[in-house]
Amino acid sequence: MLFRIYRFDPETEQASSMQEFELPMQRGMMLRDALLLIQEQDESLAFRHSCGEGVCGSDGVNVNGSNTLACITRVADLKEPIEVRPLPGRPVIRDLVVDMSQFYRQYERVDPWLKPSEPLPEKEILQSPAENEKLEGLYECIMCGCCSTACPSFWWNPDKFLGPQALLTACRFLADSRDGDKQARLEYLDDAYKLFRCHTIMSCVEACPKNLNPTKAIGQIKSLMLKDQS
Amino acid sequence: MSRYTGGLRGWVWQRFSALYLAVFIFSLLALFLFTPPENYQAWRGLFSQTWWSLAFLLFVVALLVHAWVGFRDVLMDYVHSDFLRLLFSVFLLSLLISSGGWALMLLV
Repeated sequence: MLFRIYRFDPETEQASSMQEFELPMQRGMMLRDALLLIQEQDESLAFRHSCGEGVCGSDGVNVNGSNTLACITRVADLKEPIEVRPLPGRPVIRDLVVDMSQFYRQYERVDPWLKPSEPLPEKEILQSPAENEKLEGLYECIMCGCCSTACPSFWWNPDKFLGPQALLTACRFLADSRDGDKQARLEYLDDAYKLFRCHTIMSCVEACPKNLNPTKAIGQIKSLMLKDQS
Repeated sequence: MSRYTGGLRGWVWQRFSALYLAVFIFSLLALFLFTPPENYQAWRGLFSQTWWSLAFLLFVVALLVHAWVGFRDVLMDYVHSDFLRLLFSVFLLSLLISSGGWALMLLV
């Protein structure tokens, strides 16, 4: 199988290039396995990976134009030549490794923790099954960054638009019955950029390897704002 | 509107104006399809009716509001220099307001 891998070392090179590698096809081979084999051929290739089973969210890459996690992408399903590039729109540190600092900063801006309105009880705060169900599709995010780096609005305004990942997280806390800071959270999100740069392009939905729907979550936040003001 | 002023207000205006634009345009299409005005005089005659003039005026306002929010969105997405964004905003706003004024002149 023919692979074309993005190579760039900003410290020593002026421009990026694509390097070709040939690998024999193996049954059940995932893209992460392929990258590890390629690394055996050329150990200077840099990429992030860890758990190998779509849980840690380390190995987000752009494959044949789509963002995905290398460890859960079957090589057999990809069209040759398989082009592997870093997640788009982020500064490249080396090869497939990008600087995700801004992505994490946007996550931090939505205060991703529970803020109970009353003093914490001795034991856990209980939720009914119905209340807990509201968190379905929101809490499962592994922060791989595939969604935000696939979002054109995030490419244009990565410093002002929070991006689908942070907004999904914002919705996760707004939907949580144990959170007591909903109004402040909603008011914080109400400016022209943080939330409303989303134009429902839905690249985030297509990119999410966990099949989550940030566009729907953004819609939920807008509905909550409307309900809150009426 | 309440305390929500920044993003929500523009978003709501865009949706409401779109709703009115859709209703008006489809009504207009239906009018032309089922009872088309026979000639220019009959078409002008429509505007002598207050309800029609009001509906048309509202259409112009909705169109301007909708276009403004859309233009503003495009500027915020693509034009990152504050000065240039202000310049384009003033230009587009003047264009929209003068278009509105022109439509008003045609009405009265």
